[in-house]
Amino acid sequence: MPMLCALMPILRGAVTFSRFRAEPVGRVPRDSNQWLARGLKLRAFTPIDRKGDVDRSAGFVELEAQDSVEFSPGSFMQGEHLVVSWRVDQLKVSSAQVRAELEAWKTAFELDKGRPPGRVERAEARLAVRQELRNAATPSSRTVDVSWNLKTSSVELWTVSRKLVDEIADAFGKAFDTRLIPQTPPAMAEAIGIPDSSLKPTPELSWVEEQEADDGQA
Amino acid sequence: MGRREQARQEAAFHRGEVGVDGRATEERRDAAELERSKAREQFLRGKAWLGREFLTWLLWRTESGEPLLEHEGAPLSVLFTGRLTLRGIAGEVTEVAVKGTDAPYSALVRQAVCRGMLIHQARLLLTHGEKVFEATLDAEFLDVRGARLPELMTEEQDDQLQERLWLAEQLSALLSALFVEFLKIRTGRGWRRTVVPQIKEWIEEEPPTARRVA
Repeated sequence: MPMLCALMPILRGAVTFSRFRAEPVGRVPRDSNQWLARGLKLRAFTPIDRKGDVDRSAGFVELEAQDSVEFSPGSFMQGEHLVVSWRVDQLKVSSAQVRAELEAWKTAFELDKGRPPGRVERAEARLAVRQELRNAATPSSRTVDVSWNLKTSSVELWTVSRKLVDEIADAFGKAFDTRLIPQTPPAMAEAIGIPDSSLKPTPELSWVEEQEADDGQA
Repeated sequence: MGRREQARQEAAFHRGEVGVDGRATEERRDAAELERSKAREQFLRGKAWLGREFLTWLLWRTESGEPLLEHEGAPLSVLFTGRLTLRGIAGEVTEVAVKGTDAPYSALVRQAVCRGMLIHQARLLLTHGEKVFEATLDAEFLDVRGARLPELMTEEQDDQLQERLWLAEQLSALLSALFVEFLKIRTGRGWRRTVVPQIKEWIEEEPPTARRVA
């Protein structure tokens, strides 16, 4: 059972989020609930395969049942909002632990064979030790809440970690064939039609050289 | 020379780090220069200056305590409170952080702005009608951090979730409205002719609190 780090910040406590606007690329179907469920299932969370060599897995889960990827409309629709979580599981094998186990194996090998292990034997043992530790490791798990107001197109990703924000925005776009436009200063300026040439730094405020500001550089 | 050392030197030569004589191709830059170059990179990344100018303009506009605009029929007032971080790209100091309830409006902050530093992160208190929000904003992304929402009016858990979502969106809409207001002014003719000189005049003035202490 993975260790869950944070429980639904969307429900309680201080609020931290990055802001977006959703712009569907194609036409939104009439039965939007079915379309949303299909999108969520397309990018649903799948647990890490212990036999495989991938150590990280991420995808959408239901907000209040973070092992569930059923996505019945009642589980993700709250009034006019779609509300789900993005779950990330990570398996970590400590290299110090691998080293210690390998050292113990090397001692046992020398006692048994009367010689130090060769390069190939060491490499094979390293792989075996790592796999064994990986099988025994408990994955760490964290979730980030995602809310989308389907009426106003406002989207909040309840994290400010850029790595996670980029990952969720990418998955969101692919799941719903939608462009997520960040509500950052340059993106908002672009959205209201302000050309780049009007956005140069103000030299009197930031002490940028006049010529550099004119070039749009600092 | 060992084979490994020779291979290392050849690799460094191929990467352009050393010349045929084995000496470094570039003089090592000193720490201060590196720091300034990093500050410059942060200033340029994602047009961070735009958000920094916004927060600095907002500090100037909020000192009077008057509402800044009307949003959905209710006045919006903003007050800077608590911790504030300024960043600059020129001079010896590239970052200044101040802390204290009245710190954002202190003489120290004005002096920093006067020396070309702009606000990079700030804690704001936004009063919209009867609702009060508090949030930390950063200039680069205008992300909301550690925000406090107004007290909830509903009791059922589902209703509370929807109310929190609605309040978070309200906060986001208020920030967007403030930024759009700033953009209108910044792209207008009066920005460099009137507004910037007024900001410069304001930062050179002694703040009322400093006068009281003196």
